[in-house]
Amino acid sequence: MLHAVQTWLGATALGTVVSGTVWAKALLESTHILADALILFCGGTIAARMLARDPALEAVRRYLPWLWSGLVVAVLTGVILLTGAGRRGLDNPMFLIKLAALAGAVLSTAAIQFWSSRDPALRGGGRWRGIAVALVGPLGFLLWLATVFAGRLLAYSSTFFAPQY
Amino acid sequence: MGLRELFKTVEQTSLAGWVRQDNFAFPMLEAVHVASVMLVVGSIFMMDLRLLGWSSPRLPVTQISREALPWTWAAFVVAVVSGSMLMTGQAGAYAANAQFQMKMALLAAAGLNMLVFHGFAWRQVARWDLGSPPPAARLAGAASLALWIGVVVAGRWVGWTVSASPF
Repeated sequence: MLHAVQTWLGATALGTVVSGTVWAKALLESTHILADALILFCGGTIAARMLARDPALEAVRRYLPWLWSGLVVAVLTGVILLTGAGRRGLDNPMFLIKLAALAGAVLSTAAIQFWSSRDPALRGGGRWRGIAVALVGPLGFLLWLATVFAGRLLAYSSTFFAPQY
Repeated sequence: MGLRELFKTVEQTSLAGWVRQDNFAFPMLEAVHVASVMLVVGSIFMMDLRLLGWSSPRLPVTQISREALPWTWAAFVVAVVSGSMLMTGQAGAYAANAQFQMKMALLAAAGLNMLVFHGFAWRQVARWDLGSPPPAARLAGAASLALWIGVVVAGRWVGWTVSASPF
């Protein structure tokens, strides 16, 4: 499916501009990085508050909307950037690692959103749920970090995996 | 010792050799550098957005500052260390690169903006902690936002333009 999206985007006027213009790619990459900056800081702050069993809800309420907004921008810019990456983007093993880390990070963040909406103090439930609530923040942050690392290492994939393209 | 000699000496250190020759050194250092710069920028953005009144307008500015600053400084140290290590491999080429020079200039301007902000507007923060920041603080927030966006754009551009040619 991703290949189909990439092909379709590549054929659009936007895709042509991105793959053929250096400044457009630079602008998109910079926007992607800035969106990731918001995500990482918000994810890190939420994780720290949840780990410290601080009144986490206030931080979750304040930072989660910024994190989700950053994610929307990062996904949009990331998908458009794929148009200039050719087959190397989607077929790159590092890209699959990035997608897996991203899926985990999104799931962790969604769990935080879900739990905080049902239990504003984020302290209820049994022992195991308490442990899960305490761990999901840091786990999410580590997965966001892994997404960023894999994203940067895309350019060096052949160092980590035997080239197949 | 002139700058040219200094960069040449740096490039001849064992650290520079490791960065140049080890397959994993440069990619991993770069990933650490990018992630730490993101944390610096993300934490500063949150403070800037509060100064501009675009985020958490009812929350004390000092609380945002307490939350953000530890991240900013810790990540900044990591970014400077990893960035310096990255530079050693081709110190002369980086120093001669226009985008790198732009990044450093913007970084210095962002630092100066922060110093001016803390030297003036921040001294009276108790007066506007819970309310709307004064024009000087808003201006500092806007300038910081613009300068750090510039640092990121210039930084990304360095990777595309730095040449291996000697300084």
